[in-house]
Amino acid sequence: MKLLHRNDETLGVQWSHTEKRLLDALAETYPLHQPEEQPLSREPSDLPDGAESWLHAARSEELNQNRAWLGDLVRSDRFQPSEQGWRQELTHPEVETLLQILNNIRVGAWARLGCPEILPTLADLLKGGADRNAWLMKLAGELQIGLLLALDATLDGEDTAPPAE
Amino acid sequence: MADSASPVVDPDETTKEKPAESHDFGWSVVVWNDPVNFMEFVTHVFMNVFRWPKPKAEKHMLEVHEKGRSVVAQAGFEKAEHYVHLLQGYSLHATLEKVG
Repeated sequence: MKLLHRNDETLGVQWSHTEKRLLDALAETYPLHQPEEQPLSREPSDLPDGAESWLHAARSEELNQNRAWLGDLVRSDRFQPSEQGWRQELTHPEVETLLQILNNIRVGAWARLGCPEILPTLADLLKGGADRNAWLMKLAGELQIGLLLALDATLDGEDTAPPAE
Repeated sequence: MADSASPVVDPDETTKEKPAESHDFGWSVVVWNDPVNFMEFVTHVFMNVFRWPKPKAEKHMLEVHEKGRSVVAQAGFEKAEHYVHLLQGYSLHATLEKVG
């Protein structure tokens, strides 16, 4: 993934054909990490009544909204074909939503693997017979890191000096 | 935070004397270590959720990584819950903890 341009509201990214196919496939699995797997506190007796259920309801609604957004995104004409793959314009909030979606898949897949302390390496996966969730965790992570690196990239002519104090 | 209805205490400034009026800082927002979240991702989330500069976000990310947890905010219940909500939206392992 490559950063093409950015301004205060949007950024343009270049997806390779492989990355786009990967996103399409991962989108079918979302969401994997459910609100019920994320407690509000490790001491639930400290919480006000109803706080946990309210949070889970709010998070479930968010996941539904994100799933609808993701479905529209991968089916829409917002991916423009190019020689190297696909070009796309995303707003900054959309980038954050995409990062949330990718990490939901990564963490959800890890949870389904039993929350291992040692993560399977690519070499482990290539030996064959790996759990589907191990692949999902790895591939969602690859796209996530690709997007983070693209966000961190410096474009030609971009001012990288820190703001004056 | 500009949009905050209730006050928030920066965990790096806990030595500051609290104001005399009775603000509620009774809840800590704790982020826990796990082996699955990338360090770069955790830093990015802290910068985005708390509007922290990168060095401060990295400091808390490293605290999570090395000490197993980091208190990233102290606030009243509603504000602290809001932060947990945002952090869990990124699938970070974040919880509320009663202070004291």
